[in-house]
Amino acid sequence: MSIKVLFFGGLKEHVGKSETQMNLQPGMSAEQVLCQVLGDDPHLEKWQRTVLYSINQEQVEGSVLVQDGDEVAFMPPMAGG
Amino acid sequence: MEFITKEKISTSELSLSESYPECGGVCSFEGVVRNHHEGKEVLRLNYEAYEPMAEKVLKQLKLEIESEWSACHVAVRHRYGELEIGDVAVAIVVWAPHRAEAFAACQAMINRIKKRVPIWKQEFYGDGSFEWVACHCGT
Repeated sequence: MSIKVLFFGGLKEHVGKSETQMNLQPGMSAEQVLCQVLGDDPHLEKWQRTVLYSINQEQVEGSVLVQDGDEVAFMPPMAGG
Repeated sequence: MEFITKEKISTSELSLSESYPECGGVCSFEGVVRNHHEGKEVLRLNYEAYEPMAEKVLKQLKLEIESEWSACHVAVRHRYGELEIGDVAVAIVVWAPHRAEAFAACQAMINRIKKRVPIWKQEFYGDGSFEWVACHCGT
């Protein structure tokens, strides 16, 4: 499956890009996609603890499965206002 | 976009846009960029938004507040991009039949904005450093 992945805030700086296209095996959850993106990154655990997930602009739990064509965003905790 | 913009915003602009003669209490809130954070001098802010989702969530929050405080009306705008000290980052106006609901709904709205709207702020300090700020959801 092919998905669009977006990064924001401090995570965007950490990975060095604001968006990317990924081709993945079906049946992956949003959290599993994050782990694949960060790979061996020593900060993976910290991001796993703090990242918020959205799929197609709706906030979801990390366990939700991603589908072909989805827009997945990895977001630090919100800090607007 | 109706709820987010890179242009200057204000509660006076929002309050002039609507009129509810049945409402006797009008509560306005502006979140303004201040010149300090945790003891450091702040020079300016950059607000980053997940634009289509921020637009959706602000609309959702407006409808939630209006549903929880019946007979209230809410107007809200959040600015993003480069902001200077003194700029208004978020403007909220609540019209309600009475002041108790107006105050309560307005406070609830800003608290929910801070927790749920996908916007992040990056502060630039007087010593040349900069960082992404964590949410202070209680303040």
